[in-house]
Parts: sequence; C-alpha cells; structure tokens
Amino acid sequence: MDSPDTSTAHTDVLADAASSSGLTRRLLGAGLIGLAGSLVPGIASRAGASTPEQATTTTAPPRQPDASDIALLSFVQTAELAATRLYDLALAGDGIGEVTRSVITEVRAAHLAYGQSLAALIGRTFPGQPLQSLVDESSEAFSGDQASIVAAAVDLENVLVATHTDVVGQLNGINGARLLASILIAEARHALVFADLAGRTELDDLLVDDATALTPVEG
Amino acid sequence: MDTDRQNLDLVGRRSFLRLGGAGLAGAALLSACGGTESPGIARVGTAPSTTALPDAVVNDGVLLRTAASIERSVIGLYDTVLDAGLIPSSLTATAERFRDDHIGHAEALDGLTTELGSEPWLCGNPRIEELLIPAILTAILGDEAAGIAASDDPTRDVLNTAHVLESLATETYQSFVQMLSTPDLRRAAVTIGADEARHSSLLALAITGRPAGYLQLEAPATPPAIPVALALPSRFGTLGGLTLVIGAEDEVGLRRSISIDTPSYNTYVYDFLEPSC
Repeated sequence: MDSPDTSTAHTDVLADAASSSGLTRRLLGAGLIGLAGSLVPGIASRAGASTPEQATTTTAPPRQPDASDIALLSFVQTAELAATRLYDLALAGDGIGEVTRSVITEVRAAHLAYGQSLAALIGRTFPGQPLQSLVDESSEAFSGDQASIVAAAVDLENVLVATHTDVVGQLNGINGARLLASILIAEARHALVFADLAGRTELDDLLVDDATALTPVEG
Repeated sequence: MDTDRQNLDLVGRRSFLRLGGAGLAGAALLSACGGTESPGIARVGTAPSTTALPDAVVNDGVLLRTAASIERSVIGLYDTVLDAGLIPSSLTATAERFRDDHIGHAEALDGLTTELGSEPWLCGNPRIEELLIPAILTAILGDEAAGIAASDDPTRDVLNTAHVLESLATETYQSFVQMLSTPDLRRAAVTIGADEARHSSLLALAITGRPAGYLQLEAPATPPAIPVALALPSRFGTLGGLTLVIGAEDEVGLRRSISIDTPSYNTYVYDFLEPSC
C-alpha cells in the first residue's frame, strides 16, 4: 500500500517545527490563549462588581500614626520614661516597706514597657529621653519617705491618665490610640492602688481623676 | 526522513487542537470556580416569598448604644443585689456609688448617641439580659425546680460578679477605641473605661484583701478554683475575656464557670433592634 508523500506538503511545518522547543512554545501558546480567553468573563464580572455606583463609601481612620501623631506619641514616651526615672528614685531609697516596694517595682517595669512599646510604634525617631521638666518637678517627692512617695505616685499616675486621655482625643491613627488606651487603663489602676496605699478611703479620692494633662511644649 | 515523520506526528493538527483544547477546558474550570454569582438551586413549584434580614451595620451609633446597654445591665444588677441585701453593709456605699457612676456613663453615652443621629438605647443589653444575668442569679440564688442549689457564699459571688462586670465594661471601652471613627469618641470611651478600671480594682481589693489583692507576685502552683481578683491584673489593659466562677459546688466539687468576652456581633445593639424594657 502506497502512502502519500507528505514530505512536500509539510515542508513549512517541518521548518517551523525543526526544534522541539519551538513545538513546545506553540503548544503552550495555544493553551495560554485558551486560558486567557476563558478568564476574561470572570475578570470582567469582578471588575463590574466594583463599579463606582456600587462601591460603598467608607472612611476608615488610618492605622499608622501620621506626622502629628508621631509628635504626640514622642511626647508621651518622654512622660513614660520620666515616670520610670522617678520610680527609680523611689526604689533607690530605703524608706519604703516591702509591699510598697513590690508595687513600685511592678509599676516601674510597666512604665518602662510603655516607653518601649511607644518607641516601637514611633520608629527610629523615638526620643528615648525622659521629660526632664516632669522629673525635676517630682524628684524631691519621690526621694522622700514612703508617705511622700506614695502621694506623689498617685498624682503622677493621675496626670499620666489625664495626659494620655487627652492625647487619644488628638491622635488620627488607630494604632497609637489603641496602645495608649491599653496603657491608660492600667495607669488608672496604678493610681487607685497608690491611693489605697496612701490610706485614702474617700471614694472621690480613690476614683476621681481631676489632674491636669501635660502638654507638649510648642517648638 | 523518519525523524521528520516523528515530528510531524507530534505536531499533528489533532495533537495541537487536543492540547490547546485541554488548556481551554482547564482554564474554564478554574474560571468557573472564581466566585461568580450562582443562580441557585433550581426548584419546582412555588415557594413563599422571604423577607430579607435587616442590614447589621456596626457604626459609631451602634457601638455607643451597645456600651450604654452594658451600663444599664450593670446598673440593673447593682439594683437587684442591693435590694436583695446581698452587698455587705461595709460596701453598700461603694456599690451605690458605682451604680450612680454607671448611670452617669449611660447618660453621657445617650447624649453622644443622639449627637450622632442615632436613637439612644435605654434598656440593658439584650444578650446579657437574656443569657448572662439569669445564669448568674440562678447560680447565686439557686433554682429548686431545676435542682440548682443556692450558693454557699452569696456575698462572695455577688462581689466577684460585680468585679467581673466592671472588668468587662473596662475591656469593652478599650476594645471600642479601635472601632470608633473619631478621636473625640475614642477619648470619651477611654475616659469611661478608666473609671470602670478603678471600680474593678477597688472591688478586687475588697474581695481579695491587702496586700494579696494588689498584684500577683508569684503564680500559684495550681490555679485556684475561683480566680483571684487583683487590682493590678496585668501590665497593660487586656482584652482577653473573663471567667466568672460562682455558685455552690456540685457533686464533683465544681462551681458554675461562665466565660465572658467583650461585645461582638451577637451582642451589639444594632439600629434595627427594638427595645423591650
């Protein structure tokens, strides 16, 4: 049985398909064209799902702190580091009892942790220095006897709660507000514990924070 | 020539179309899995029309209504235990003060809710009122019909309940900070949250005593059956949920344990909810 001579008919094909890689490319190309063609309707329908008239208009607050937030959070960090410095002064003395020392040790560690957390949020520009005016203002009280230290600690914690509350009301970014909220909740508890250690029993003395918030110095 | 024939067989039109077609079919399958809207299951006959559920939007108004609802649930609980004489006389003034603070918080929240154009919620939280409060009161007061004995120490349980609810309120406001849309509302939330934290810490001192109630210096080898209330429970404010253990011991020595979490989708007071108080 004679078979047709295909050598002439397929000359061009043979020329193109002279190498196996060319053949592979063709086959892949055909598959990809099919893939692209079949995906077009799906992509088009998804694009249609977000047409302007169907989009929901939401204005989510930013998460990360912006430039003004960074300035506020930096100020807060200096206040936290000042608190750490003041509690260092209290612990350096020997006039405080064991229970008060335990509480101050924990509270000091907490303020250090707050400063470190704020530094992580602020980034490389974090101040890393205590608010010197606060340290200067309270150093004498924190270097005194137990009664003086505990009374000063009540005031300090209430001032920090007031300050952070004020700053939360100015921050644009959610992450800064969230961190400060978790800090000031704990500091409100600090204030109550120090008030209790100070022997205060009036509910207003224990529960009311009428301290004035610290404010960053302009410039 | 034999080599040429082999190539021809490989490149044959059928092979070409077959492979291209396989690619097309595979891609079509992938595309079909890509989330296009399904027409649903075909059905025969007629079906009654359905009423679509209302949109459950969580916005500032819903969050404030939810916070106010929790305040009112706590107020209701303080009223109940004060009226029942379950608060020791040494703490009656404190409990009344806390209740009055919660009234102030609820009214402040109502004002903010109105400013936002939402309707203030003047009832307790529906889910807490339906599930949590009855369970707590049953564990403390007992339910003879259900075979639940009254607590062996109702005062202890009432104080622990108040402590946990104050802590829940604290966590609620802290958790809402990241959800509220404006700095002013966040400030209002943390202001109230700090008040609740002080309530919680003062109750911890009343429950656990001094100095053990200040903070935990060493973790116990075995966790206590009833969680120890602490004035300084953690270094940061937490959102980890709370466990309330109350009531009489059962036949195997266990008390009722209730897990309480910060509000979520099943606890929010949505705009479409109707008050029932």
